[in-house]
Amino acid sequence: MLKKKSRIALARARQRRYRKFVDRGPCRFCKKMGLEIDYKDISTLERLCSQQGKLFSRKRSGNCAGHQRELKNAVKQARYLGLLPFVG
Amino acid sequence: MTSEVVLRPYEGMFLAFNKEARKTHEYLEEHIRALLEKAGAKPVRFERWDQRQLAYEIKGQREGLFYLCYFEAKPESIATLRREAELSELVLRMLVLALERIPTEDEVRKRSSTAEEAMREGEELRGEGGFDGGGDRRRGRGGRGGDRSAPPSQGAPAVDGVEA
Repeated sequence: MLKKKSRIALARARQRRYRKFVDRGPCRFCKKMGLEIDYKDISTLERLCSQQGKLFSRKRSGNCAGHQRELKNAVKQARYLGLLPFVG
Repeated sequence: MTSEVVLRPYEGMFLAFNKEARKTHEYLEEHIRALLEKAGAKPVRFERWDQRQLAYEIKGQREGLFYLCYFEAKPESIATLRREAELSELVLRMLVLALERIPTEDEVRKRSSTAEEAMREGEELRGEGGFDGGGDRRRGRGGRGGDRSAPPSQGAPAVDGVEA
């Protein structure tokens, strides 16, 4: 009985988590109109990269396709200048 | 009107050699200005960043000084500027981007503050959503070790034998 209950609770928790992920709304850059992604803004770029220096996926960061692409370019420019690591 | 030379706005970021910079900031600034002038560019604004630790070693340097320069130039002159920067021993890296217009100092300040705000909101959202699948996935990828324990060792020497 207990086992079954715990299994159901786990499944519900998983469902809840998934629902929240889906309902997250627009991307953080879309919300702020006129906000540009810049390679000089290293604190922003760092927060959207993993410790290894890899850019977080759209699923993880919640960015829209356009802003994710801009972010990708900004990270690459920052890497070239030695502001961000290629490999953390 | 038609014979006038069209100057376009650009933004150039120069990473300069640290050892020299420690002695003479002015010398380096002048050096970069000279590079721009050689290429026929007109510097509009010049900013010096603080000395920064580089994320990786560039030409044996672990630290560097960044100079940000907004300038106007002919599109053809960017190639000259790039060549001059590559020949220069004091400039380690250079990145030139074309702009629509040169932003004022107030605009730059505003932009950075709004970016901070957006990031803070994003962080809160991530906290609520509780989605941290990335971490889980990374932990799960440790499964590579399985390859080592698997017995392809029988096949490997055979391949080597064929090659030999």
